[in-house]
Amino acid sequence: MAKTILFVEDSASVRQVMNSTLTREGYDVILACDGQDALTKLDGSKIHLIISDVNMPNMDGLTFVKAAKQLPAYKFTPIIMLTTETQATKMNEGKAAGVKAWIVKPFQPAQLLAAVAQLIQA
Amino acid sequence: MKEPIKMYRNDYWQTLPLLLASGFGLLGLIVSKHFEINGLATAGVLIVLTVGLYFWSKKYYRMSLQAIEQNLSAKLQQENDEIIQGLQNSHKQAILQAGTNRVATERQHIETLLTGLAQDFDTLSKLHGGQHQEKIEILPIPVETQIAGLTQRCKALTMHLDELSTGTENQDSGIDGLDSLCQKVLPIWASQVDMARVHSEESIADLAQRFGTLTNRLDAASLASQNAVSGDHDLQGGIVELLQNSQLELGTITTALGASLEDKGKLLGSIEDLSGFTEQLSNMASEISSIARHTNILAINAAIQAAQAGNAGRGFSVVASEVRKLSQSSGDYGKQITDTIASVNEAIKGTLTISRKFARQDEETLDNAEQIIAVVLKRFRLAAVGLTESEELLRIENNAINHEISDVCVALQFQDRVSQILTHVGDDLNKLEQHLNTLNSTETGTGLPRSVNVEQWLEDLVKTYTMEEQIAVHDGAKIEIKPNENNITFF
Repeated sequence: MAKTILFVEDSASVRQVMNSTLTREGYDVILACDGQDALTKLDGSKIHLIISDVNMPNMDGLTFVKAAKQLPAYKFTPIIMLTTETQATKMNEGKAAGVKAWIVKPFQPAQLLAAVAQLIQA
Repeated sequence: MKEPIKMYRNDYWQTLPLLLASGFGLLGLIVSKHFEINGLATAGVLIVLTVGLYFWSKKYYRMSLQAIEQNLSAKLQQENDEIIQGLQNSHKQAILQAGTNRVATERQHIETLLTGLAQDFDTLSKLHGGQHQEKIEILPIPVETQIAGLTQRCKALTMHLDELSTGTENQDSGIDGLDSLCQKVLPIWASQVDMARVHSEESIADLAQRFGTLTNRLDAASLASQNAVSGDHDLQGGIVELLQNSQLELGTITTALGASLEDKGKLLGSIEDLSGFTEQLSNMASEISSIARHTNILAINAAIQAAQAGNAGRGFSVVASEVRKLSQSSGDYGKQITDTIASVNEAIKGTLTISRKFARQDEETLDNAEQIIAVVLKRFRLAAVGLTESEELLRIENNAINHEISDVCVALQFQDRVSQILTHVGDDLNKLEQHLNTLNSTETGTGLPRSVNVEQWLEDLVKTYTMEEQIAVHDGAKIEIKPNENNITFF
């Protein structure tokens, strides 16, 4: 059975690229354009991994992560942050919120797929 | 009185009288031995002399050493004082020189500043339509005079600016129309930047989608080619399997044709056996004809005998006549049977001839079919090998194209970074517009500051950055995009 990934990204181009990449690898992908939109997708259904941008309109990625971790069904769901943000303070904030990996754009799709496989199997 | 210095207070000198006393004791011993003087008296004299020498020498050495020490101390103190005085004098001169130099530098700096200030005041006066002031000549007018002149002009300019700011008709021209221009042009700039951002975002997203579709179609084509050549994961349905199946089925057909030929051979054998039966039938028909002839002769003889018997033999004559008819009929049927058998025999011979001819043709056809099937299968095999090689080439090319598209996807991520940079610029433009609107809506008499804190503004702008490149460019560094080598951090 295919694993399900929630991909949260405000950039339509990155969303499109990663949707294609993850789908080709056999994952079921749920797309969301910001944190607020992503929270509506957390309806209790099984999600094996969350990938989220940090800087987004309406609700930023770190606020979304903190909100998602409050939901019992997604408390232990691994989360990858995918962002242009390189400041250590933001990374530490993400780590404290329960983020498992921090990937800085631009990234190779193969790198992301390796991280996804590692965290989904863990 | 000063204490003697330490080297004289060790009292080592006190051993000297003891040595002298010992010497005198030895001398007394010699004198008493040679001049017969009482040893005890001599010793007593010597002791007295020794004690006297001790106290005398002690006092004398102490006083002498103290005098030497005082002289030396005084001399050293004087020399030190002279040296210190010299050093202090030279130091004061150096400080004084440095101070003089610094004052000269500061004066020059202040004069430069004052020159700039005077020029600024001139510019401001011209800009705000104030009364034209005579330009102050900086040199050789003293600084105090310049400051006094500038102070006077500053007061005049301040009064003029107050008049301008309190006036209503000329308020927009307070910064020479710059704020008005900014109010109008900043939202336009922000809109243009946002439009460019949205346009590029949509275009890149469309491009990404097309690349994604292209990748999927390439995968589908490669998979279809792979399935067509090698079949699916179970190697079923491919051209290789088709070739193997065709070979098997064609082999089955040739086997069936061979079996059919064999059956035809058996049929020919049976037909030849049948021709043997027709000969037997012909012999049997000859026997029937022979029996009919003999029966006819016997019937004729019986009729003769019946005629000789007269009336008694009339009945027998009828029987003989009927027997004769039967023998004639049997002879006719025997002849017909012989003729029919001859016809059947001819027909069987004809059939045998045609069947043998067809059998030879079938054998030739079967040989040709086997040869043709072998040639066709060989061609199919060659075609399959070519298709397999093409499929392998297609798979390799597909992988290479996928890799290239992956790189393109990475390159397309620049859009996200550009979008963020443009967003920050647009936000800052909007912020500046709002700030200008707020400033212009603030009345001048309220006492609220009508200015922009540039340092604070820049500091706030830095806080909005998310990328190191933005901070570097903000600080004036050369624009340089560095690829991220290790951009994954696991927690």
